[in-house]
Amino acid sequence: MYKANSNPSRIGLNAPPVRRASQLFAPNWRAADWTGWIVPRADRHQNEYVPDSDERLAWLTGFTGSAGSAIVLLERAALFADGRYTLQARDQVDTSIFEIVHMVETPPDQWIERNLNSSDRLGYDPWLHTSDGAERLAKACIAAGATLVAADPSPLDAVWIDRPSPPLGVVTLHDTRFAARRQTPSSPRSGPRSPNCARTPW
Amino acid sequence: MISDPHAVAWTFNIRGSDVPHTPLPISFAIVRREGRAALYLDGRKLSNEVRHHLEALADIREPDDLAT
Repeated sequence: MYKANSNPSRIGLNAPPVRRASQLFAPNWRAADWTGWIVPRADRHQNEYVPDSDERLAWLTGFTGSAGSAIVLLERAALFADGRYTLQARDQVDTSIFEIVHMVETPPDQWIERNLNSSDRLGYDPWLHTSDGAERLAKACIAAGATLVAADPSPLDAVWIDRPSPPLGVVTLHDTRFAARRQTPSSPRSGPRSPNCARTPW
Repeated sequence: MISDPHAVAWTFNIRGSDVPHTPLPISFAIVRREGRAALYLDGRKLSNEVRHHLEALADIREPDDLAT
């Protein structure tokens, strides 16, 4: 059974993938100055489990694995998945549109270096990538002579018209007796400061 | 700036029910060295009791306010 936590009908997989992919390059978007788009399987929090409203990769490609990404260029497109999903990716994704790439053997940045042209401008949604990840993509684009372009708001979200609403899960208080530390208004959580936190440059 | 909901849950002693398998509240937070913390989550997820409790600890704001 596939490791899918999303119901395809809930994330708007009704349109055929070729239409979803080509919508990224509708005339008004192409004028907006990119020739490619990268879609990670990620939400704004880099969560392991993302809500249906963040299943952009599944919406675009049909692939519902827990890790992966896709790059759509004007003439070609690739889905990156790891060895756990070799069979699943082949079953779920229209391989006449998406070349399936083993993302450990050829990570997206390597694929970018090899496949982007010097005139290409690869768009990405800055909310969905870590700063390290975006930097890697930018370096790969530069190596190909291409440019990485942040786009906020995302054109993908604009064309995902049947996108589900974000979840409204009820928030509960976690009792202090389970949490070990008390909270005060001046310190929501007092505890030892993480060394990483002290080094954070912003 | 806290962008990981695990860390927000820990910081504010809250749990959520937004995604399967992990009791995370999808949210961001800013905790300042001095001054009030801010918690960015959809206010519709909060009962009056929980909101009251959290408002003693932080300003409650909508996620979209983070970027403005």
